[in-house]
Amino acid sequence: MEKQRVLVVDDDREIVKAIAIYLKKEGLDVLCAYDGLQAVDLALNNEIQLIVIDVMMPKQNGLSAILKIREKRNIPIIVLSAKSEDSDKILGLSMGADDYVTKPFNPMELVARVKSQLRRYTRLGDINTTGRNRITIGRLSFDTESHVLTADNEPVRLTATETKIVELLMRNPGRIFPAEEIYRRVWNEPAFSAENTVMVHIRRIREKIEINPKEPEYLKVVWGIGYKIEEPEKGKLS
Amino acid sequence: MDIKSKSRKKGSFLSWLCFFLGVSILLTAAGGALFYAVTDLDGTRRTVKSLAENDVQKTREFQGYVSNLTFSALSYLSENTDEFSSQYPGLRGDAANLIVYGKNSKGDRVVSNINDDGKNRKLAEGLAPEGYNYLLSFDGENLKITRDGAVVYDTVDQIDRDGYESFLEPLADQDSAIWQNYPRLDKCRLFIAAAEKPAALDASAGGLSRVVTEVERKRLAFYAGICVTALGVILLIVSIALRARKAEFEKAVARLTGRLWVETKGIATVIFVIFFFLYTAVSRGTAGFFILLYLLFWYLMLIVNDIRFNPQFYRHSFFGAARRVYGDYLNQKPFQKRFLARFWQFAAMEVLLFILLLLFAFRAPPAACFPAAAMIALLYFYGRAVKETVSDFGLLLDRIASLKAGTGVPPLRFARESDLAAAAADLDSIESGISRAVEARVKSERMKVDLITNVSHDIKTPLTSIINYIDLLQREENLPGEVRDYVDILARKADRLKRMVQDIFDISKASSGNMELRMEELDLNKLLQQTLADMQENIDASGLTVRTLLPEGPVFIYADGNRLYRVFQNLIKNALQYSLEGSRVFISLQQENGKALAQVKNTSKYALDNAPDITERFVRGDESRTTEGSGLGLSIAKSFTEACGGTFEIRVDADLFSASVTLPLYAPDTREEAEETGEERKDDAPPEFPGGPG
Repeated sequence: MEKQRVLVVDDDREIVKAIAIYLKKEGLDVLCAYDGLQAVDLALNNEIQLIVIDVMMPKQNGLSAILKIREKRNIPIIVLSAKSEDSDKILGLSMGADDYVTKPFNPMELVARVKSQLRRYTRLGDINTTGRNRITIGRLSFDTESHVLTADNEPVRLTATETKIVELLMRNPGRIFPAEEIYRRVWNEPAFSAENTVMVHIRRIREKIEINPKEPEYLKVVWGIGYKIEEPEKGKLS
Repeated sequence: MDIKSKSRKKGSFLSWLCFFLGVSILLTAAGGALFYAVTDLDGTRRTVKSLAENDVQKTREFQGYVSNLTFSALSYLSENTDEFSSQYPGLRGDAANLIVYGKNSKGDRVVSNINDDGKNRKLAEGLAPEGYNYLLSFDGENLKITRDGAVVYDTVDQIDRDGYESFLEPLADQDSAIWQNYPRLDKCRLFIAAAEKPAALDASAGGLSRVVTEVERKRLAFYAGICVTALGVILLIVSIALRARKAEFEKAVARLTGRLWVETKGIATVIFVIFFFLYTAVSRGTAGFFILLYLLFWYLMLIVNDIRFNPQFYRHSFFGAARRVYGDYLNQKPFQKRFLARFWQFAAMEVLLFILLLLFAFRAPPAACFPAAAMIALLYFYGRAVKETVSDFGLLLDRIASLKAGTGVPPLRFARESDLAAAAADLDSIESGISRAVEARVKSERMKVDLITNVSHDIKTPLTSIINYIDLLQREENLPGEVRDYVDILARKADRLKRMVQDIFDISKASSGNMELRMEELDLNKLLQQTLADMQENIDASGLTVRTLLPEGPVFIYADGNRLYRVFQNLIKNALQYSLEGSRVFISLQQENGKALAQVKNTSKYALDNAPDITERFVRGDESRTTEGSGLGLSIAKSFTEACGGTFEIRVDADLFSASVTLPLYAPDTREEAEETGEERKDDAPPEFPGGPG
């Protein structure tokens, strides 16, 4: 397979360099840019599969660069930003970014996100992603016949209980299930110590499906109410 | 500049002078004429008419002269008086123009100014001599005047063509005093002839000459009067054209008069008017009357001018000044003294008036109504003043209330004399002081947040590189053992720094009210259970026992679940970290008085002091509590709780550390909606959560 190429943009050269090191280790080809204009130039004149771009940059900021690039290219874009507020994230995503990573980030998490986006992007249109019996939420996809969950098109190994929990939540995306209900419907017995038991399983599922289990994006706790699976952030845009 | 203003002043004075002279002239000339015209319209008309007359014999002067001569002569001839020639000494010298001839029946009294018997005889026959066209003849009964042979006056036939009536009326009426008093009037004969064109005039001579010169003089005076009147009109027109300049002078005068107390002006006016009436009553002279009238006119003009340019002329009064001085004196005293002083004044005056009323009632009952009216008026004014003060009081109280409520109300503007003016001003300055302080605080708080936001963003960029390169270092395989240890320390510290930056950012956002909140209705009981479940690993690892005392059912509150999770996460972390080994951590939730009270209690490993500072930003609860975390956990818990509308309290009792989070319960009237979202929440939730297995 041909080497995939990633464009990394940040006005801090050391950050670009570090990211480049990590991505090259993963066998990716890396192009570097240090401001928005350069980024747009490189993105439009080269064959690239993904862009990692900072927001606050001289000459042209990241968001307007994304708008420019989006006019011509439909490749995944991951935004890097020091701004961590929800509103900043929503703004970035609404401008056409696919993912949002706040600085300072864990390098391995960034790599994982890059790989996740690349997998989804390059395998988009595969037969098994658009089956009739599939529930797809963002990078997660559940086959209701084979009872197999895939994340970024890679199968996730789940236990039987975990699979039941995931199926229940994936069949009702966005709906909040209290722990007692999950317990009753998965274990088929009256809930006892439900919160703790469910939480243990939720945590384990997160380890398998989330890029950063400490900051889950899909399998979320709605504090004081219950649990849900939902497409991250973009759900808040509507 | 100076010269210019001086010439300007001169100009304004001159234009006023034009006005003054013009008005004075018109007043004296036209006004005088008007006065005569009004008092004697007929006489005035005849005078004016005769002044325009060319024929001397038709003038009133001639008629009057002839009439007087007739009476004087008849008086002598009828032996009423014994002297004639001495009254008309100049007659003899003017014989060429006027001839008089008269005698009584006895012939012992004769009046004649010529010695020509021929002419006298001709006259006695009732014929005018040569050169004389005018003839007056009295035959003892009838007085007849002919001119150029035509009869112009006849007492018997009652002919009067030239208007002699007013002069000769006594002769025409047989019953008049003259017929009674002049004993032998019917025995008298008198003839007067006058020349048509008087010649060789000699005013000293008398006779017709004198009449003619008199007429000439009057005519001259009349024309002069018209000219002067015209001059007055012109001056007046000039002054009207220059009225702007004139107004300057008038303003200057008004400034001068404005300095006088209004009482002074009033007294002066009264004196003037009284003097005027006294004078007119005592003196019969018209000249003095006119001069006074004239002065009165200008005095009135002065007052009108004063009123015109000093619209509040009544303000500058002696009583007003005295009242202000007294008011200022009172105002220096405290309000309550002032109010009392005013009451005592009122009471004293009422008593005085009452005494006066009693006195009058005994002595002069009708006059008693004056003090009675004064008493009522005084009561009215005092009542009004009290009412004003009370309404000012009300406004002041309203303002204080609105100040407390924080609603914007325009500042009070009491009159200078108001008792509460000073208080209102004080209140305004307090308010502006408060709002300034609040503004300054808000501004500085905002600046602090901006600063922290910017700084934390600025720190994050280099921190990214630090974390990335430390991670790269950690991946190096050929590092010596101690270097690997160093790198691990760096990694831990960088991680802590990262958390600290985010925590500081969160705290500053929350405590300044700039945090984005997603408030929703949630079950605090469940939230606590979830948090405990979420932290089960930490609890297990700590070796501590967690005892929970949670209610059976849900405890609904309205808050941001994510923030509250952080609150309890931090509290539990704090408890796990600083509890004495083997001790128990107690977590409880109660509902009371419409509030949910969640508490986390633990026994501290270290001695606790300076408890109140524990939640203060950047102040660590205990200096020895280091190792992990940003040290901001409690601060975050406090500011997030407060952002969600709750209260946060830390209590320390010896080694017992207890944190209380109080949140208002969700209003029950909206509970129905809550049932929908949490339909299956019917609690099989255990009352007690099993603590960590130690």
